[in-house]
Amino acid sequence: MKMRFVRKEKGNVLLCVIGTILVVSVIGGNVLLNCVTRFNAASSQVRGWKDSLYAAEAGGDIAYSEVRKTVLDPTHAFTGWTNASGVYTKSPVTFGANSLSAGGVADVFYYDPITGNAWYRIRAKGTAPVMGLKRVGMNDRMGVGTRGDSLLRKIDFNYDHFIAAYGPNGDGAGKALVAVSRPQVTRRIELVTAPITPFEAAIKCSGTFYGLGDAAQVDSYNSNNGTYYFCANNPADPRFSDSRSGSVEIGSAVATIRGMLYGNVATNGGTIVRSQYITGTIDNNVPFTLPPYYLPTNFATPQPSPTYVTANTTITPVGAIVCKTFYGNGNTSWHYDRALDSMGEAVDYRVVSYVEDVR
Amino acid sequence: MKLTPTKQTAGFTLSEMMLGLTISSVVVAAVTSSIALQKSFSAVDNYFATLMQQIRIIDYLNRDVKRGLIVTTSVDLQSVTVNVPNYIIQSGDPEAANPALIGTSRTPTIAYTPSGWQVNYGASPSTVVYSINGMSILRTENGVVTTIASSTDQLVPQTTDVELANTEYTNTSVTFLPIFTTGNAVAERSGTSIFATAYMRNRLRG
Repeated sequence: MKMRFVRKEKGNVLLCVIGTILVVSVIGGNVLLNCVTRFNAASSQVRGWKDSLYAAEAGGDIAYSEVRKTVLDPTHAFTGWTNASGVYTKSPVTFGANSLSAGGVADVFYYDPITGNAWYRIRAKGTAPVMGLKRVGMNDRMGVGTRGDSLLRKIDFNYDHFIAAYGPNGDGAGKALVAVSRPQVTRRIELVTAPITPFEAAIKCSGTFYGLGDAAQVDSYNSNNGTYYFCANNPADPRFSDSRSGSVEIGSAVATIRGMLYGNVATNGGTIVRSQYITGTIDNNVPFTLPPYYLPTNFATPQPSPTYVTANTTITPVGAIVCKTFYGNGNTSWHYDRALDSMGEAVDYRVVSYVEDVR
Repeated sequence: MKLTPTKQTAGFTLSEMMLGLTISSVVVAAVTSSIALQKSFSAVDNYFATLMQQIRIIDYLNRDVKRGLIVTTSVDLQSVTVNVPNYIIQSGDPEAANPALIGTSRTPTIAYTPSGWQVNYGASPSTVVYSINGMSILRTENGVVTTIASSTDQLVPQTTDVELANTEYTNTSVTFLPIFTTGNAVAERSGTSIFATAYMRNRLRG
């Protein structure tokens, strides 16, 4: 038998292999594309979004330090800021490895009707560049016409969306299409700073404090709501909310407190061992100083004497004690008057409100 | 008897069979591996997509907690309610009588209450609720529902609200169950955990 070669035999192995490689490559390429998009979102866009908040809070801190200077160092407050009708503006400061940008605006939006102390509003803006690929984030469709990430992280790829939609100050005035030099994300926060007044605690002592006796008691009331009576152990009493502000602030670690204290205790490194007699909070990491204070003319003259309070002595008017050292070796009761909460000139400022503008 | 060889007998030689088997094996292997690869790729893709949704849930929640006034969590830790300042004037608000003000920010007001002064943005704060609805994580602000994550991987966020004497913060973890598991679903889920802590800026130590 003679075998005959088939000279025109056709094979498709190569085609099958190429086809298989093609199919696998398409699948792999699609996955890689998705992964690159998500990696881009995770590594660049999420980071930029978080960095911009850090920048905004840094801008808030810069403005806050200037607000504090209005009390602590008035001659240098808002130096280098632009003042336009009482609105102080700081041109953006660039910092950090990624050239984060922080700027802020501060203005007085409220004056205390009794003391005239100013309340400042700080609007800070932080901008961070968005590195990586210049493309939108996720394709997860969360609703008609919306996308998952872009609802949260508003990235400006070509134009500043905030100025275009709300104006530079967010009040709807001056809307404009402003191009950005590179993709960026901006976050805005608003802080409110409140004046700290000198008599915010029942007893404020910058140095050593040797507290009251075992049977002593510190509580509070509000003379604007009537005369004092004890109600700190009766939550049903209408004056109860005024009764537990008998706070003691001690600027040193030497803090001996005995007796019942209806309020908070703050020390600078102290240790509270009889915490069961303190109804409020205990914070042992609160350093402070007593700045110079000028007594308002409408205040009663403080009593320089008696230096020593002996038994059955009534101090009038009842109010607060601000001192360098305190030694109270007796079963004395002290009723802080909450009407003093906001009395007196500001001695410092604290941030009391934080809002983020999420537009 | 003389046998006559059949000249037209059809069949495959051993070498043809070997070649055919080899080719079919390659084809079957290619198809099988491409299906396996496709599944693996799909699992990776799905894992990464769900991971991004985890990050989104945490970013949403942390943003609201940071600016929040009050945070409460449900007993099962899967629902979080945050009261946030009502910073933007919305349609229906008293200020919206002037339509130009809709969408703009409010100026805060100061009120003295029996418990001290209070900074207010509008008459009442906005209420934001995070909840799970089936496979979706919902964010509801003043009744307006937004789906912030949706996955068949059973995303489960859990938030604990920690209130201390001088501060308050939330610990959040978000987990999901990946498509590929080795049979120990608990371990697989715990391996996907993402944790985050957010401090309430409005509860700063004073």
